[in-house]
Amino acid sequence: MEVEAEAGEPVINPQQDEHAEIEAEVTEKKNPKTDRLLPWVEKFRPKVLADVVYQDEVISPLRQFLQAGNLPHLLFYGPPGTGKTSTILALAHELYGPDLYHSRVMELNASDERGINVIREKVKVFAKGSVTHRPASVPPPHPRRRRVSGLFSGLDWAIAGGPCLWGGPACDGAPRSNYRYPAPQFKLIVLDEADSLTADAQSALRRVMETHARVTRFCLVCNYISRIIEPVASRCAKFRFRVLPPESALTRLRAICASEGVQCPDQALLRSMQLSEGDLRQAITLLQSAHRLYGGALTPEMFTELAGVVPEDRMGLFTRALRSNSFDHLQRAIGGLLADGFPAQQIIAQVAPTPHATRPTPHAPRHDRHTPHATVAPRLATISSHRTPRTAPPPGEQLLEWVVEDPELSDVKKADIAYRIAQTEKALADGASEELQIGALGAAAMETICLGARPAPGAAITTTTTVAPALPQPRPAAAGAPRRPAK
Amino acid sequence: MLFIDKYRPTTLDKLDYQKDMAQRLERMLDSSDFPHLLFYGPFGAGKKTRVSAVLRHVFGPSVDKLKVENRAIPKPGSSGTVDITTISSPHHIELTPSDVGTQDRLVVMELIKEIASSRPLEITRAMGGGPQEGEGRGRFKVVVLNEVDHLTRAAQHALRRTMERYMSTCRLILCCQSTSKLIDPLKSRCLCIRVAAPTNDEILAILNDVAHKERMVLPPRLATRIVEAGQRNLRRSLLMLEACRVAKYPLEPDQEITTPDWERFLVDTARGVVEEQSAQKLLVTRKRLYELLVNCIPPEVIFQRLANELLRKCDSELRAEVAHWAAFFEHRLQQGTKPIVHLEAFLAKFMAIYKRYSQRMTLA
Repeated sequence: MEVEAEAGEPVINPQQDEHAEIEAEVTEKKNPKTDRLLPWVEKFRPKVLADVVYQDEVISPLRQFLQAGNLPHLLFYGPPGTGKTSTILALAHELYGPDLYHSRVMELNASDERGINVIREKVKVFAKGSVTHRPASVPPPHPRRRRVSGLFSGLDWAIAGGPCLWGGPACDGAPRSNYRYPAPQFKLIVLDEADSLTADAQSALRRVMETHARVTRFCLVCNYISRIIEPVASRCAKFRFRVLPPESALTRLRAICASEGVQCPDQALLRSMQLSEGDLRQAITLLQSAHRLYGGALTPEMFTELAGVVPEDRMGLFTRALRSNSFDHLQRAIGGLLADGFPAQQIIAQVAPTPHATRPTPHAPRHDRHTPHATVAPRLATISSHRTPRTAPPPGEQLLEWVVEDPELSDVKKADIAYRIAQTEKALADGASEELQIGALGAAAMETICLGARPAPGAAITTTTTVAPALPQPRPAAAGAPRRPAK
Repeated sequence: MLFIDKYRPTTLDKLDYQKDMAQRLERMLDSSDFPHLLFYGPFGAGKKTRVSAVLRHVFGPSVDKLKVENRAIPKPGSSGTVDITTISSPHHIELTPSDVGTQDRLVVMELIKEIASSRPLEITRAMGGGPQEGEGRGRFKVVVLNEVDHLTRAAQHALRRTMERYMSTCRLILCCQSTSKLIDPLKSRCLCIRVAAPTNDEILAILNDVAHKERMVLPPRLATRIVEAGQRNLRRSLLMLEACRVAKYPLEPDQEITTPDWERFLVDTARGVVEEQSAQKLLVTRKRLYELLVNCIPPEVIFQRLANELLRKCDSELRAEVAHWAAFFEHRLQQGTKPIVHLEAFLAKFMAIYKRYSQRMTLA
């Protein structure tokens, strides 16, 4: 191990903080007490590929790579909390084992400086370094071995030689015949959260990935594959991580409960998965928070409260105000919601159904037939319909759902409101004021809903202002829809 | 000493409202460990009060030994530095990363890493500082970050991994007004605690309590009026109470409640716009807006108050439209760089709408 470390360091030139990190991890191992202080997300992070939940399409090819001891460049993408980082870390551990892990794997994420300079300096230097570098004190490998490895150049040797024959520390000068990891002759660079790499940095990666392919593999992990430039994406084997349906993660959550001594019935666990929209990390955090905060036996309601979901009666107040056609009423409802600290994004998220089958409402099953994830929805419905008892039907607890199901509203009106919701969401993401945005959304929705209901004198005026002469620029984002006369 | 400081609850069990949450927090902290926390809620709802109560509960009175420090973080690739003011005790450090504007990523990356990557000395145990001797006490430091909703995206992303990696040595307590601007990965790493603004009744009770402790007679009618003017903001209400006492004592039921001058100035401006719609008026208003901006009133606040005033004053049929344009121009203000342009554009738009409406009304 020590020889290995010495051999490795001059070549790979790890960053300063990498030292600190290694030290931190070493001390953690020495001190089992701190184990308790780890968040469960870290503590129960899958150690081996077999532990990764649900992503079979990804895991089985990876396992084949592992058996062959060879890897292409990898690109993992998918929504948060589906196990991307866990998979690559588990893979790296299974590839290199504890001894070689730190010298062979370099992990860079958004918390590290990652401009183009870092790609040029750190990544390139790490990628360039040969893994067979030895200090002078260690004798060179056996000549025959060298000859054989000379026969198979580059990538092929690992496959030809099979896992333990030449790979591993033996070739690095620290002879140890019983190293049970494949330890292939290349290093691994994990670029976590790669979608936050600048385009320049990604371009700089292109050639680096090719020239050093013999000694280095890259693994890019990101949420949105569209943010990875095409040349980089085409150099990688892409793996999509799917959103976890609630029941798939149940076993894992149960195991965590058992090992931490949490009393949590399945329906509460299911609720936590529903609330986190298939994000297992969030579900585990919720579970831990609920355990810490409430203790004892956990109920689904506790999760609902913790997730910061706007309670039904409050949402009901808002949607009733929308129907009231009274602006004062609406303003009061909105003011109340915001003063109680409910974030506008949450109100919108609840007003509009989320695209996932598992929505952050306790009543997901009822609406599942509207969601595009048809494969997931029926399963979810069968599982949770008999477990989450429905309370009284909430009147318009979900604005868009309610609008869509309302037979009195015309299609144009429905489209208008959906359009407004999208606009508001965008403006909020840009950092616009919550009160004004929600106010405008509410006013527009109210106007649209109540327009046909009674003769609204304001309607005539508002329709004429579609294109305001004061601002001659065409403004597709602003004017159009809400002012459109509803026929 | 101001009322708000004098009567600020110092421990979790002394909090006046949301006692449920306080009890649960206490329970959780007693179990010697807690996850990263995220407190969110509107102004004056008591976020900071809760944070300091949490800190005191975990580390004992030694968190009150505060020192203010200026830290300089070298910029990579250039000779300059980024300066940030921090407030720290032996156990925690508090900073507002958004103070440094677009350089906040650097602060998040370097400073927090620096703080978090070293293990704290276990002085709590040695000095017997903690209120209770627990296993986990003093094993980690706490970093309090204010106004995380003003952090840039890059800085938020930088926080993600930092939060996980240094979990064993460091806890973060984040404070923000709304979680809308926070990226999901951050929210999913924290225990989010909503701090709702106190209801009017709760504020009323607190006002009466403070008055009682100060041995002053608070007429019920004045109390109700203060509560209404306070708009569910406890800090504002208490400041108003104090201002009333300074203005006139003994207190009278119909005494004038002093509001900040800039607010009165804004109300006047809004009134002017409703009274007259012309190019000249717009010029006059521009001067007033500049005056407000020069006096460091944030443009968002000006916009919000102005929009509220105009909405209140204009005809109910116009409100939806005015609300729409207010939201539209405020959004632009956030994206743009010159606040005055967008403020003016909104006022001009309002004038146009209002004038057209009143002309139509006179014709009819």
